[in-house]
Amino acid sequence: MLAFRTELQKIFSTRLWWILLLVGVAISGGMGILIASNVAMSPGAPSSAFSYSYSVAGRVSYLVPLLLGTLIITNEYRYQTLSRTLLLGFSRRTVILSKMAVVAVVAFCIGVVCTTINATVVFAVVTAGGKDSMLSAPEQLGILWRTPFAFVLWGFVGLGFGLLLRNQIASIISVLGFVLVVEPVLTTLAGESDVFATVGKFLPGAANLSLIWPPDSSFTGSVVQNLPWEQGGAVMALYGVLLIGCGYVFAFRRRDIF
Amino acid sequence: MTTTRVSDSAVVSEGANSLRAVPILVNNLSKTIGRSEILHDLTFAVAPGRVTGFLGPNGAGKTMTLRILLGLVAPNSGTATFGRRSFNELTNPGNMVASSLDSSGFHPGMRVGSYLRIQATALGVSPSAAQEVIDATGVGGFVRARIGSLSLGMRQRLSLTSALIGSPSVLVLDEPMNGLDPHGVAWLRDYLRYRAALGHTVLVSSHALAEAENLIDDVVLIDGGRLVLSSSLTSWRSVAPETLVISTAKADELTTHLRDRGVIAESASGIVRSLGVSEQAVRDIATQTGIELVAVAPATASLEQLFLDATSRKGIEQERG
Repeated sequence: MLAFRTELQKIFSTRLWWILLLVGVAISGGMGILIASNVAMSPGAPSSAFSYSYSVAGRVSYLVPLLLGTLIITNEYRYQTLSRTLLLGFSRRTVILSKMAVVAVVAFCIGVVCTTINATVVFAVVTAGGKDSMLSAPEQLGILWRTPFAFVLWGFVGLGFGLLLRNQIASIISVLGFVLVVEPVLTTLAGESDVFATVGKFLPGAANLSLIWPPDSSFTGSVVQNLPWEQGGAVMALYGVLLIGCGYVFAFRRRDIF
Repeated sequence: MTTTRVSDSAVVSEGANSLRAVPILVNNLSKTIGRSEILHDLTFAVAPGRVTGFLGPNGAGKTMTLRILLGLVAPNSGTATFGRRSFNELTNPGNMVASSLDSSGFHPGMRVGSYLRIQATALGVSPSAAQEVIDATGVGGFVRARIGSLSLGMRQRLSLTSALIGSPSVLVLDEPMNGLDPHGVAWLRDYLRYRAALGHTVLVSSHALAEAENLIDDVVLIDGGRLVLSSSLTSWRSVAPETLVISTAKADELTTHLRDRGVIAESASGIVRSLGVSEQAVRDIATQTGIELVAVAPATASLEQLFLDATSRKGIEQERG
């Protein structure tokens, strides 16, 4: 508990958390407004257009918890603060567990803020346009309450990434490269063939989409979201736990710290 | 941070760890990284109630030894323990052992105050107890500053502050004098002597020998990852070979003759220092070689001289070996 409180104080003692929060708010708010005014406001927009608008935070802003998880561990390497962290007397396992807990708490809170902003701007745009906001539909509510949990899982994935790569620049480039290049390419490929599609739905991006915005409401043009949200979440959690587990066992538990 | 503040440190240590101070025991410690052997079968003990200087030239393996002792690096063989337990086996290592490895390793964007609050939280120290240490080390005036903006000396003070915040009974400090101003050095010296007087175990690595001289009781000297010497400073001095200071117009020539006869000697600005040779022998050599001596006098070996002798003698022995 002491280790958790220490890690929590650490994250709030630098500028990182509010810069990330700001990025998340900007993406969720900005893209929320854009998409709501373009998609949901177009004449005869289907209900999935609303889900598309309400899921901006979960579909795009997950980059923020991903970076949070990566940075919380790679900062220790970059500024060589890991020695001091361990000399406080916490075991290496405790340090990682408390970092996981902090990532969970902070990512969840950022998720709540991003989701709220997302929902608020979409609601405002749609209502101002004289349409029904559809906010109380079970589908939208599902998206909204599941998004913060998706953020937590992305935070774990980031933490695992950082543990394995250690180098902060390499980690950030890998994370961004994966999210912005590799994942979309793979997802597109998966959409092109049935063979790829069976594997594709287990990719993190697709699993994330399944988690926040399950398949029965798929929006025209989007692909591979073939898992129920529970399974999508389970796949995401598996990624996080596997990455953190491997990172801890192979790159942290016994590593010499100079 | 002045010497007068030392009285305050009595308050600082009131709440000191109730555990009795334990010795630091290093046994047959070896560490190899890649192909280079950093430590070789190193064995020494650090007694409570004394200040022990951990000395050696750059690259001798001091920091590596301390990192192994503090559980950051795993040795290939051997042990480094506090009493019978390794750092990670201690019940509350952060509170029992104060450690300061260097003046870096801070997040530059963090404020001094935040950093110290985090340390206090982690060690379960009350804000008022932490404040006493902060006042004593003189970082109190900088709590609003970001650590990245601090000078080397201030960061060193911060590092020491965070080490001492948990009222530990064992202190392991790597080059704590680095970057400190004369006030800081004097304060630290008095403070460490005070902690030793309380019965605490104090291990201080240093290559600032003039500063270590007035501080340490015991010496552990290593070179090339091997133990050169482990004794009290007094007994090291007493067994050290006699050093002579010889003044002559032909300093370089005399040095060459002395060295030809297997005497360790060095010359600088017309003064020759010889080691382990009697005054009469020097005079004989001078007479034989026709060199006129102005004066020959025995010198009290400074810690620096002892250090240089011990490390250079070893080098010569290895060359001969």
